[in-house]
Amino acid sequence: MSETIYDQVEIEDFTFDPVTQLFHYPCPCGDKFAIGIDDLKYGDDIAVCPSCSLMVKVIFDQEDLQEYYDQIEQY
Amino acid sequence: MPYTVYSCGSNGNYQLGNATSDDCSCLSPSLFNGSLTIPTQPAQIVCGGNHTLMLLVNGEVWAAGDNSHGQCGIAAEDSHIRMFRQVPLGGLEVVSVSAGWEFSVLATAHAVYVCGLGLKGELGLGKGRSRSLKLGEPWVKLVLFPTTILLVHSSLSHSVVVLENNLVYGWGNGRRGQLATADVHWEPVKVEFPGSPLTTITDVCLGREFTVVSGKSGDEDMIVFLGRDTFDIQTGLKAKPQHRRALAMWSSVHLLGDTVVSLGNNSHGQMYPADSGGDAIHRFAVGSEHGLVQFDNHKVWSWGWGEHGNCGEHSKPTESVTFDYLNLLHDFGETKVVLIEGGCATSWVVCEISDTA
Ligand SMILES: [Zn+2]
Repeated sequence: MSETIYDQVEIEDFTFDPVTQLFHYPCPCGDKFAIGIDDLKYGDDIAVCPSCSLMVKVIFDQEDLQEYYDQIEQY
Repeated sequence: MPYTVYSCGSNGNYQLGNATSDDCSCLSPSLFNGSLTIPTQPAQIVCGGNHTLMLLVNGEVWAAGDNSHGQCGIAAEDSHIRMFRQVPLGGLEVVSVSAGWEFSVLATAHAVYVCGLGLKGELGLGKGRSRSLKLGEPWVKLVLFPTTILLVHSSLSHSVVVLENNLVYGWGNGRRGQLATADVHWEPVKVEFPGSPLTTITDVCLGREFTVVSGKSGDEDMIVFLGRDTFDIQTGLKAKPQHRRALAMWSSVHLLGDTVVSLGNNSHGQMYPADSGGDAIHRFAVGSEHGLVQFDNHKVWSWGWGEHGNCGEHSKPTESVTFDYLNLLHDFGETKVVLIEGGCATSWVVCEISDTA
């Protein structure tokens, strides 16, 4: 049952890196969950951890994404 | 009497302090400046995301793991402390330590010191102060309290201190209301309990986005939940289960009384296994999403999410990352265990090594 979603995290609790265009949030293994802004835009909402099988569902609305796209432009 | 500190689990940043960065599912000795033992008993082991702090009964603090933001409290050029090293305290008499994602906290009788990185107020040093690191002086004094500090606790991104006069102060990310008012608190604020006037504080535990305070309102037992409640923990707390201690994983609460009442996220077997028998619990500890328990001084059992080896190897025929039963992590035989602790997918067992052995 590796399909189990570990938890839900709201988008404003992630940190956004305008260079890599990734959202990050701490994973209980010590690494970080990650998901790309374009993944969110095109319908994916599951952030995964590169070091373990845990996944979190990102809580957001499409209109939330604009401020992060603005950060990429400014960069 | 010397002590050996055994650890297993997630180790990508040397947080087990055993000179490797390999995860392991078998308890192995952490190293202290290369030594397999430490002459003084550890009183507290606290774990951040990728670093570990150990307070000894004589007041020394030792640290290992990720130090890229100075979170080990050691001014080192190296971004990792590969074996436990003594943290220079400049004469501070430390009574309690805690650790969050990338920061650490020390409490003396009246003051709190912080180090590391906190982008959401985790250092409590004032608006926008997210780093403490000054080479040679990693610890920064945060605040002085007129009353004696009993203990300090941290979770992912918030911290609280409990004072002898039953007041609680907190700082860090409180956007979910885990520090009362929903905001990022860049400086310590008094944690209020609206509608639940706690007159005595007996215990505090912190999850990733919540704070649970146990105590009394007059003669009546009271337990207060502050913060985000995705898993409906408050409903379970309303029954006011009798408990001596309350402990929190990142997304669940475990009330330890004659039995264990677990409330919260059970995505990976975090709820204490119901079929674990009626033996009296001797020691109990939790990490980010797993737990450890002892019924005597020699065997250590684990349950919960064990993907990094932090729950040991399965004793049942399964390869699941979930341990939904009590698994024997290790039997130390005649050797006496004196402390168990859980971290971010790490497990810790301190053994007393008899001189005659
Ligand atoms: Zn992970």
